[in-house]
Amino acid sequence: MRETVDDDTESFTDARAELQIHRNSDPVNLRLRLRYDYAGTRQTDSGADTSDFDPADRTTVSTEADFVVNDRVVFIGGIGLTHADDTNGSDCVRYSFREVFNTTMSAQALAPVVTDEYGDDLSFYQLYADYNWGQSQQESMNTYFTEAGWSQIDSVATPLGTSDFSSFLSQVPRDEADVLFLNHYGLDGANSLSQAIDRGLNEDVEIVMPLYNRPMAQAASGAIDGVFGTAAWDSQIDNEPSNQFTQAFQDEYDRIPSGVAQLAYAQTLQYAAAVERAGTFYPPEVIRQLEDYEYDNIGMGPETMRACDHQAHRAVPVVRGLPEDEQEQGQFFEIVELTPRDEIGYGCDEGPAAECDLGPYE
Amino acid sequence: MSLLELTDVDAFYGESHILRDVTMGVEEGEVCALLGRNGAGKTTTLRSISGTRPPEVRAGRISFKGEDVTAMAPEDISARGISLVPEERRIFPNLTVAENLHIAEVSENRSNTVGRSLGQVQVEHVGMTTEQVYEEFPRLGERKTQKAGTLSGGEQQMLAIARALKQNTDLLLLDEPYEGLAPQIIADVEDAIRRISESGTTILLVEQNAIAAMDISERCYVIDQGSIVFEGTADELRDDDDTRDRYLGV
Amino acid sequence: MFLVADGVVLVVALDRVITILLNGLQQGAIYVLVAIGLSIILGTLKFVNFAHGALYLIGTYAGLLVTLQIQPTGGRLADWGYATLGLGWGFLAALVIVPVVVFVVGLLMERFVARPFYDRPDTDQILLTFGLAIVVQEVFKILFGGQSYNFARPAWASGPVHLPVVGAFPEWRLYVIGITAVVVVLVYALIEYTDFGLVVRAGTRDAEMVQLLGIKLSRPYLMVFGVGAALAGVAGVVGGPLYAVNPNIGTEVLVPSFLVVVIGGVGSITGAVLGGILIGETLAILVAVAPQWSQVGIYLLAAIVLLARPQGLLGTEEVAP
Repeated sequence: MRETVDDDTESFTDARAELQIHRNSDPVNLRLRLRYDYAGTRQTDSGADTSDFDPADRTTVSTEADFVVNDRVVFIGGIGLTHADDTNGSDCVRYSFREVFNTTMSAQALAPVVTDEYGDDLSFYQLYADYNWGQSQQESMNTYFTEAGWSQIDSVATPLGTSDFSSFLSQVPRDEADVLFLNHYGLDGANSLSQAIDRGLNEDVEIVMPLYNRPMAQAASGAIDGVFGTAAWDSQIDNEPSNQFTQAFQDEYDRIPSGVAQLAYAQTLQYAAAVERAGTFYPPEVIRQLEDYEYDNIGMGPETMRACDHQAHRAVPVVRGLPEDEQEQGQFFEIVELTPRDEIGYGCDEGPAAECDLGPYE
Repeated sequence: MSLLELTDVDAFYGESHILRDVTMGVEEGEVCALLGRNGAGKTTTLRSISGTRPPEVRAGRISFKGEDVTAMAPEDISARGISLVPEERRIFPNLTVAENLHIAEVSENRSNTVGRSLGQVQVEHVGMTTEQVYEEFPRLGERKTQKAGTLSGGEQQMLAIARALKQNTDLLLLDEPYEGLAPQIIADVEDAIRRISESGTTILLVEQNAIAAMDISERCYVIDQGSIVFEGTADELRDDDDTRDRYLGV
Repeated sequence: MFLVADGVVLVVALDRVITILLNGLQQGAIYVLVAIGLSIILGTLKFVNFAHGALYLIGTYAGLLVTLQIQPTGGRLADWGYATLGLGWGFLAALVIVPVVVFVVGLLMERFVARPFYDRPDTDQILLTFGLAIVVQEVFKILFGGQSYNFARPAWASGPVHLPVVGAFPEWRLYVIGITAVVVVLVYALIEYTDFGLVVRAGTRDAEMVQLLGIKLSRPYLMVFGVGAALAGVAGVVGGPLYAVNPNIGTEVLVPSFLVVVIGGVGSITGAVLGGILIGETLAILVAVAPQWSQVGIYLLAAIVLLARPQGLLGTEEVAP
């Protein structure tokens, strides 16, 4: 058994943990790959594998799902790419589990905090990246903020590959809208948020970034000041397991761990534990052990890996960007609330889960 | 020593052997004509002399004022005092008449220094000034702000010659200067060539139009299939019916 | 946009139209700067430079390092213990220093990359320069990491400026338009009114004839490459603060800039300006009326221009002002 952990936690551009298990006696040469494309890995025109944190498109997600099924690799992911509702909704597969929350849960967690902060009966305007995740995110935002009493003015798609959002931003009706949701992730988010601030939109409207990550915050720098969003685990979460992990990681790598690092370690342990419980590496048995398993995720509190859609039901951190002068290496957010899991989520017959058909074990 | 000497020059376009053992010379002050049919090797000879590639000169020697210029770059050969007025004139149609003339001046200083360092003591300007050009070719003066591409064929030919004369020219290579011109204009060009010759510039004239060329040249070479087949004075060529008939078709 | 014969509606429409036009201008400006270099190099040297985006990339990182002090958090430089990098001399210093630096890079590129390939087919040049672009991009990734850096706008030009009619507009973008305009005029004058420009224009049309006039072309060619590179450097500095800085920005700016060259016509500076404005305006107008089509729209524009005028709007072949 060989374990390679190559977690570039400072850049988070291509954080991945890989656990390879070879059992020569077993006809199935089993591999487990935990791929944490927090940052996302994109093929550029040149064909070079350039890691940045731009969102990959839907194709990549589906390809990964096929790969998971065909290669019989248990896939436990992920963040960003797999934040879309479809991943564990209509596109769900038996061999894939998702520990991270989805767009529905982000919106559910944000709605009470944001409406509480900015007031009732407000109007919002949305820009969203025109692919699976962006569509999913803007739908979720519309659904849960409308439910909370706000009303949508418009939701406008920005084509993938756009890096200059200034024309889109100039279309925002700043007199009419109270809040602007920027459903852009990673580099797109850094660009659209910075450009919105540069245009002075924050003078007239409140801006919300539904999904944050650390490289995005780093690139957007001072622009995130006061901007609400959700994020995966963050080292700012102040409790015993969280602090313990942060300390251990820092001792080893001399850096503050990011959300991906936490995910990589936690899920590697989850898998190892499942193999132990199953007493075999045989995937169908391991999968059965993971399904409906209750566990305590490092610093995030109790979680269930639901059997019906392989979506973890868990707490979601709502965060707010720090002003530039308070930002430090690895510290960009203040945790506004760790929304507990019983306040968010949906039943197995509701929402995305209703469309999920996991398929056979073998 | 001739001003320009070609000795046993063999030139190739890729693998095609175009010039075979070409030996010829141009004397200081004369008008020398190189005659021959289309494809006989006239332009290849001029290109070999002026240093443009292709052709590739694989054997033989070309010398100017006693200096071997065979392997030199065209700009260095030009700087030594050889100016080419190429086939189809090749003026810059996108530049004005004045700019076409001015560009010759950009290289003038180089031309002076390199050209004059060849044994002559005094460095002095011998190219025409722009004023002199306009005096010599009044039509160009009238059209100096016009784009050269809008000039008539005759005017373009004048411009090409004028451009060459603005340089520090000791040897003027003229490649088919009459081509495509009306008879009246041919007379004008002929006139200009005579005046240039009278001012002391040596001229090597390449022509298909043998009759016109014989009118203004003192000596003639005839080239056929890449070899020199006749060498003599214009009068000798006029009397040599056989050569004229066989190689020039006149 | 709404041409209704109603005074009020017309006033509302006018500010929208002006905003869209202004957006278009600033979007096109960076492409214009990159495209002029591409265009004169392609027009004069007949050299297809896919590595031109890499010069933009170099310009942006150099600009970042001259302007600010950054803390590299990924990449080898961080591993080697460079906790802080950069001069922190401010933006104006970068605007002067970076074009010079990239000019020198351009000279080296001409001498050691382009010159040996002038007589080779376009496909060889494309393969070579595309490969070089990837190498440069990866070297930056290795040194600085793959993550994005924040190239903060200079303090004197960050945030919005409140314009009459248009309202709030990012101040930095006005500087982008202004600096681009000044640079374009300088390059125009260089090509139109100097002996260097004269030789370049003539050499573009008939390089051999220029040599026959006793002019060495290697030096003007070197200069053309240097000037083209310096323009990409200016674009990198000016455009740097518009987007998050990462190793991919060079490739990203190259494609639209090539479209600008295609639309405007190879070798034409005016064409590059026209092409850049057209692309910028097309983007801005489509964003206003059909946002999902904005990216596709510029390719469609290029296709239409190519069908109607294969040499581009102002293309002949020669470099023309």
